[in-house]
Amino acid sequence: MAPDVHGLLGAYLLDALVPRERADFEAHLAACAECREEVDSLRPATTSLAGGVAATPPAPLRDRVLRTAAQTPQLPPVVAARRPRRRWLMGAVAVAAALVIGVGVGLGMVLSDDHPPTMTAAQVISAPDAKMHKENTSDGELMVAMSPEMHMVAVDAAHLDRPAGMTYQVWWHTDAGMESAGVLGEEMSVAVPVEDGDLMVTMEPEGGSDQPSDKVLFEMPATSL
Amino acid sequence: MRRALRVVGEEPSRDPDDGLDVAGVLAAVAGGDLHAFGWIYDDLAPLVFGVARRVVRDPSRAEEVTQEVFTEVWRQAARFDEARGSVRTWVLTIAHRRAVDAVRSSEASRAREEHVARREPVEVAGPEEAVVTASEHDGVRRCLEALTPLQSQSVRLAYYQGFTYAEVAEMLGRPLSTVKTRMRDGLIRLRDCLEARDGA
Repeated sequence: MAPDVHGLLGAYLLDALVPRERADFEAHLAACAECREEVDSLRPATTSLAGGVAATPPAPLRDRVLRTAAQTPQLPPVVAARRPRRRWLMGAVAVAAALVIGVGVGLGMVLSDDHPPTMTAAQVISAPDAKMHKENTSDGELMVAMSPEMHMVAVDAAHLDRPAGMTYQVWWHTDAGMESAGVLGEEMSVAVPVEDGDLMVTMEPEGGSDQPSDKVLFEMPATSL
Repeated sequence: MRRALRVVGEEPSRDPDDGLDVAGVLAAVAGGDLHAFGWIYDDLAPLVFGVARRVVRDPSRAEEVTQEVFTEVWRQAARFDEARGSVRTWVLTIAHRRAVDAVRSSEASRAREEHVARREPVEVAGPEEAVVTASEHDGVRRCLEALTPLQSQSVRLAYYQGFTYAEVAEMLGRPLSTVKTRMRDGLIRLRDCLEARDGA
């Protein structure tokens, strides 16, 4: 691990980095098992600092939190990058489970906010509310489109000159870490659900990777898409 | 509601590593179980709210942050990775980051920056001001005392007040590299001290 990055480990754990440094550190973390190990080993001590300031929250907050949860769709588990479809199955199971348990009001929202796996990039791009971003990369023009109504982002790399044996992969960088959202198939486009984090598009070997490479073509927080 | 989930026979412990299967409760949350979610809230809300209130100061903003944190826990429950730590550590990691993001994006942050620029003496808030209840708190306090003054100040200013390491360096009049290093070795010493106490 590069000494300058390693030096930031404590500041990272204490959330004492500015966003740019945090993003750099996390990109490094994604590629450095030794660093992840040290971060994991120091996290419990870091969060134990909370023990000193515990305070009883106002009682009405509990109801508000539970009510909000009942109306908030849950994210599916992360599965291997090569099989992005399974995520939807799992998500459907979670929604079905929520239905069975009967969380009550707001479920209509949960269902209508969730999306079928069959949505194509073309559908997202042609959505009336889609907002386009065209990124000129060294390989050509990459298009990213976001439809707030569909709650989906489309990535279209059909106009890129990609080296043989390579493809592009879409990632979400959230509080939970770096997660693959999907690998571009033969049609060179993909649609993925919006998450609360930064969207990244990287070049990867065909089939996709477990962690993003250094070749980042596009990076933008979901809030700016 | 809380009681019903405690039928496993033990009181939920403050120690994430023993007895009660909090990860199992979170797995139920991931399946959309609001009852289980209520249990997680009851267990962790005082810590989450406590951190939010300490970092953002404004109590109503702290409530908002607490709500955001638990909504995030609900959304991301299926993505919790037990291999990387306890539920409590995961939730409190989200909580601290949210609180820090909130305080830096707020109006108040401008005043804070001026404060730093003028190098005014700052109150180094620590757990000793809080209401003391758990023995765990005692452990944290004692272990913080085991740090060198510079380690302790660096860790506290960042964790309890949400300052960046550059701001901390400025406030303490120390080089950036020193503060970065003290934050890391301070946390290492804190970890080793807490582990030694747990083992004792």
